[in-house]
Amino acid sequence: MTTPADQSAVQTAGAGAGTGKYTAVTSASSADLGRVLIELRDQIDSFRFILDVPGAEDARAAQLEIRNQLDDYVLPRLRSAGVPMLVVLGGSTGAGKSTLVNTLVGERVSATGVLRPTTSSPILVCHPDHAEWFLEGPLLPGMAKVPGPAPDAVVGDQLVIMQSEALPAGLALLDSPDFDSVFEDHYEFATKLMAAADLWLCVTTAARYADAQVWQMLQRAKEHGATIGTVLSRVPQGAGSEVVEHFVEMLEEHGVGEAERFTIPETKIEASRLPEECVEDVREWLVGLADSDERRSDVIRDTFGGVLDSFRTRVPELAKQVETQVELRTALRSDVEAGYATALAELDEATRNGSLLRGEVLARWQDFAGTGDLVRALHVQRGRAARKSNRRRRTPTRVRALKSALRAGLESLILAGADHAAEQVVTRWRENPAGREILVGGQGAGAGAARVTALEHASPELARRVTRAVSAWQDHVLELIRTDGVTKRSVAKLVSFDEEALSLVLTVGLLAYGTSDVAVEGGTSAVPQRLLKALFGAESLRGMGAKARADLRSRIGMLFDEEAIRFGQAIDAAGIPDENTAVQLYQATYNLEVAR
Amino acid sequence: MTTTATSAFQPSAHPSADGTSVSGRFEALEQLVELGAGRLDQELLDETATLLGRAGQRLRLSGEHTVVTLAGGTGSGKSSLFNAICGLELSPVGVRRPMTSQAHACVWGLDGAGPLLDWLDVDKRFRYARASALDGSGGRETGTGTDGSLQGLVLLDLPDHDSIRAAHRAEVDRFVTIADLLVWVVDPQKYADASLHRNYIVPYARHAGVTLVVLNQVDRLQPEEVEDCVSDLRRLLEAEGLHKPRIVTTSTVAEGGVTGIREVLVDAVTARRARTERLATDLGALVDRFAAFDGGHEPPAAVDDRRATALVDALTDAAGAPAVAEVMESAYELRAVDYVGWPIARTAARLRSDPLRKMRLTELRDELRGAFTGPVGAQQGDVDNALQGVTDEVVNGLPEPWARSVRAASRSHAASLPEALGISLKEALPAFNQVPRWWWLVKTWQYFLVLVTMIGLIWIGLLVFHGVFGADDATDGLVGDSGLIPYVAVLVACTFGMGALTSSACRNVVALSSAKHGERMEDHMRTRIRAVARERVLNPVSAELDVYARYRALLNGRAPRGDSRAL
Repeated sequence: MTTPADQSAVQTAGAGAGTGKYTAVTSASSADLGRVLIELRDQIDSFRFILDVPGAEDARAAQLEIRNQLDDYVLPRLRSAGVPMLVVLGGSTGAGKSTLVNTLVGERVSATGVLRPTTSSPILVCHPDHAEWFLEGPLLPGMAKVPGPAPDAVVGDQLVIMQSEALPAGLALLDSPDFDSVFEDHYEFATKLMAAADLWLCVTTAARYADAQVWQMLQRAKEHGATIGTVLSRVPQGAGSEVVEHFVEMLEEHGVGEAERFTIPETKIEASRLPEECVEDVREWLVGLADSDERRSDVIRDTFGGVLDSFRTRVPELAKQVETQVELRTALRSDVEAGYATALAELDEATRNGSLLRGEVLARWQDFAGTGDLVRALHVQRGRAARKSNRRRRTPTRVRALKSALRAGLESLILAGADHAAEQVVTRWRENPAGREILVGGQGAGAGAARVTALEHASPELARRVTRAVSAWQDHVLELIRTDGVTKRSVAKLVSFDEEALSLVLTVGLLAYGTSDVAVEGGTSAVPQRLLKALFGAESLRGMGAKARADLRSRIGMLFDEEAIRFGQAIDAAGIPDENTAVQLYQATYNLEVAR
Repeated sequence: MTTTATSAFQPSAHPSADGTSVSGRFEALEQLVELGAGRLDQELLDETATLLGRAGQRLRLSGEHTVVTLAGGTGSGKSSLFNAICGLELSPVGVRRPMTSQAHACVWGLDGAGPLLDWLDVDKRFRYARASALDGSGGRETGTGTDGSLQGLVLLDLPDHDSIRAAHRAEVDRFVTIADLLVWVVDPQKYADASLHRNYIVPYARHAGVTLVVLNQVDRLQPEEVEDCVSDLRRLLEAEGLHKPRIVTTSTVAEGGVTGIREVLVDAVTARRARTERLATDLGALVDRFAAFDGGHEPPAAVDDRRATALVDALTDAAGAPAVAEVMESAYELRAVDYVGWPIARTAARLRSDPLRKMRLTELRDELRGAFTGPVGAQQGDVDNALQGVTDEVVNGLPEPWARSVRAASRSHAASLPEALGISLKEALPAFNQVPRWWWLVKTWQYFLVLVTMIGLIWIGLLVFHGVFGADDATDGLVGDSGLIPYVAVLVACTFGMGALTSSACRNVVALSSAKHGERMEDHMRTRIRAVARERVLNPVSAELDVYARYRALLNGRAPRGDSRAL
């Protein structure tokens, strides 16, 4: 992920650290620092907050902010320590930012007017010596830069760079759009530019200094480590001191009391400019900062340090959100597991309590047992050959019928279980906002709905798989009878049996009555058990029953696992960050601390 | 200074139209909530219930009064405007922000206003009354020349919605949901603020008819700038969906600066339509949200025949009806053998070596014979699968919640279906438990044949005995004449053969009749299963579809009652 530009950032930062004409931002280890910061940026770039849960929206914004601040400000600042101090004027719409810039520059560089919002594309004014750096340099790489004066109709996210001899070489002023008008992109620019400022000058008015938005932005600037100055403009004549006092009170209340403060009274504006005496102290302060290498580098270093300090809390906060997402992912997974586990348990119960011995299965069993075919499956040892032909004529039909009835019964039970489980999982996911997110997914509503319908039912190929699994299980039971079904010696002398029929008796005994002697109402209660016990003995019968049941369970479990994979895939396809991301973020924060 | 001619507050051409529209919508919504309960989005139902409650309360309260709220950002001059309209310094004004933190109310004409103010929950300390008669003589606005009276106006000065005091916003939110006429106060500095437009103008865009935007502090602009500002504001509002926004410019410092808004207020108060219009819009918005759950075309009244037949087939399979019929046939035939079978052959079979006896499980045989307990239920899994696709065609084109409820209706009795199927099958059985009379005749005939055979055998025995022991007295020709032996033997052989023949012939007849019985029984079972399917699956589905149809009828019936398009 390291681009050539980043490489050069690391190198120049290392080289420029000691030799910077204006200032050295960091210690000698800034080559390391550059690398660590690039790593951090790549790290932050590498994941997305997919699930829309409370806090995710903020986290997404924070992620973008940190990433942009790294690209727009931290890395360029590290690379070129010697460029002028960038002062960004931010504030409410109609606060008079452009007017202030015009006055400071001494000519009309930014449009002013009564229509709100006035400024739509940001305007940067700097000394001609640095114009080229601002135009070509690494600052704000995401924005197109055009040399000014630009026509009034500048579209989109373009930064207009104006040159002015009126400004000292060490100072650049940036008139940013407002942060509270109806245009959302203005807010985005305002925050982006605020994050790139060495000094953020918040301009507000006497009418709006109590606006929630102003204080949110100040809070944000403070948290992000910016150096802040405030300008209270349009203070009405006469009542000035009361407003100013209240404003100062509020500043202190919000922990930005140490910020430099200026007041501009409400006056007549001529040629888009304020009377010079109104901005005298602002100009004095700014020029003072810019002209003194020491004071300017102090400001720059303070802000740079502040930004890096802010990463100490901001990145872990991001990591915490990542953890929340990971937890949600785990919760969704456990929803799936719980859904299928419940279905499996229900199936287990259904194959134990006799609910399978209903309808066709029961009818076929009665047919098989009642007509004497069951007894005919047992043969007395001698004279077996004599009646062979007689037997073969009818038995197979009933045996086959019972076998297929059992298979069909079991199949539909499993299919219904799988359907039910899938529905359960979808219902649970629907209740969960994160789950809904995954269900609806990133695609269009149509595709989402189709996918929900697909997930809500068992997968189409399940029927085939179940058929295979059930007949395989029946073969397994038959095999059990053949290998494990050693007849009691006392009986073996007298009676032999037809394995296929016996395997069905075992199946019926197992699924409909349970392995132990459970009394079930109805005439045939324990018939299979008693017959089998008489043939094989209790011990052997229990062993076979347990084996057959375990085998069935594992086969169904496997089928359900395959079904559950679909949900796992849905989660994976959503691209939720995993556990590693959080760990890596913590690691990157730690590395940053070490490198400083 | 009114820049827009406001005609919407003029008395309507059909004064009663709005009243019926509100009550009509009110009733329709109540029914919609009833029909949608448990089916539609609970949030919408709750919201509707809340709003209906609120609308009901407002309708019961004074209709003579029009509640007007002055709301806006901090520092836009709401309180100054309030004072200017009232003509008195009632609400404190100042330069500190935010200034007003409690709603102030001023009432023109107190009759019946008390309960209304209580309902609005305005603090008693901040209620002021203006007698209408005094209105013209006091205050700063005497010279405006408004001949209309503000009698019936309840003017509320609200706190700001955008300052750092979050409680203010909650207060504003509360009032704007219950006010009759919404007045948004903006100033040239803040008119494009996102907090106003995003949080209030856009969500209340439908209420354009009862919304008024006031551009205050126009004295701060040059006269030529005012027009620019207003047109920019209008463009903004229209872009946000506010249909024909009404904008009034005011200034509390300039002479006659509030005439415009007074005129509008006088119109609104005189027309007394704001209340119903506001409620009608609120209710209309809700009706539209309910309309989102209308699929657009008439749903079928019931599951189509193909699906219904498929369902009955699937349920028949689930209950194992063919198998049950077969079993019953087997049982019938087995029982018939007891009657029509050749007793001698049966005895011989019983004497054969029996594996069960060898295993000392003889009692099992009887148990096995008793295995025919008849049908017990059906497979739950089969039943569930049978219900799976029943509603697929019906829900086609239905909005999601309704599709779900129809599907749920088809499964409402899924758990009790197996048992119901079992019971219905059992009811179809009795024919098989009867013993036809001819079986008894055959049985008698068979035993008669056995008797004859026995007699014949004994006869032969006697003949042989006489022949061997040479009893000479030939008095008894019947037992003495050994020449009779062949004849008697033939007789025995004949009866023996006849028994066997009778048996096999009767069994064939039985098999035939049992097959016929079986078929008839299957038909019976099918009929009964169809009844069960109708009662427990198809009817619930139809009932649910009917609910949806009524829901649609309610929604589409609204057009003649309340003309929502006009609002």
